[in-house]
Amino acid sequence: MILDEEVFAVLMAVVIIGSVLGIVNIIHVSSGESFTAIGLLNEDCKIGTYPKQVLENTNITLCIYVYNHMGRPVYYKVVYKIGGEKDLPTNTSPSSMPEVMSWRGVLDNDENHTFKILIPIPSYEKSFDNKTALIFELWIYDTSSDKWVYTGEWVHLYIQVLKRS
Amino acid sequence: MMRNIACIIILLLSITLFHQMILHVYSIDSMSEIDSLISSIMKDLEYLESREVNVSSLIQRVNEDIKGLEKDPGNATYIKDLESIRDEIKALKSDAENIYIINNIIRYSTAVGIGLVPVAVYILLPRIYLYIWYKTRRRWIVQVRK
Repeated sequence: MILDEEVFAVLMAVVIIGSVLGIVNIIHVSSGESFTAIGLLNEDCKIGTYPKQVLENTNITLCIYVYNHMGRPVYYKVVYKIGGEKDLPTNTSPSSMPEVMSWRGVLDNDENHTFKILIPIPSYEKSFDNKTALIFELWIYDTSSDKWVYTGEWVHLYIQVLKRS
Repeated sequence: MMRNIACIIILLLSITLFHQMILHVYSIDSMSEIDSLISSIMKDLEYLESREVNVSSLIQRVNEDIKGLEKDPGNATYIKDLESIRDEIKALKSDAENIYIINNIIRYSTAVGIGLVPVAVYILLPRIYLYIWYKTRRRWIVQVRK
């Protein structure tokens, strides 16, 4: 044979592997594990230099990052709560503290939102041992049950609330 | 005189209390109304996205409307825009199945086309190689060795 058989076999192997990879790439639709994420950033929307001491009855600016990888668009809300160390949420249950504020939005799959928030630091009779937690929980709207569902994701920032003299 | 002042104070307190109650009820209702309105839109958007219809511009508009309604719950502009999005979704839903079928036909045809490439290479490569081999050597003169 003019065309060497071994060379031909190698060429065929390369073509077959390329073809299989191409088909898998076209037919494979699944986007893998579905999850959402939330992040807390400082007022410049960057990580670090968070406020440590805040005067009561004032507002502070922070930034929230939300990411959707659920494989579908989601209607989400970030719920702001204030509590102590014992009031932090877990990855199965939200914090028992009442909602102070919330921010809603809609995210397409594989998209993220970063937005600034102005949050009030109210004065509390009850002190949280100089360790007040600003809690931000991520909830998504379940369209099948028409209810808000806690995603199990939250972020919190410890601050010391200074009383006005 | 004192009795009149007391009556006015009680009346003012009652009005303030009533006003606060109305405001409270209104704000809860408006947020839950927004949720139920967005919920129906989200169901349709999820369906459209599962049918591979590009809905990213609609999602962006819904997001802007929600942000606007959060700041100003009664604003008619955002509610009107959400209603128009709903109408656009209705129109898209009627075409969604056709778009999905067409996309699937294109996808599987491409996959079949790529799957046929090795077969085509197996059949055609030796022939093309031979053709080129002979073509590049057609001016050669064959000489018998003595």
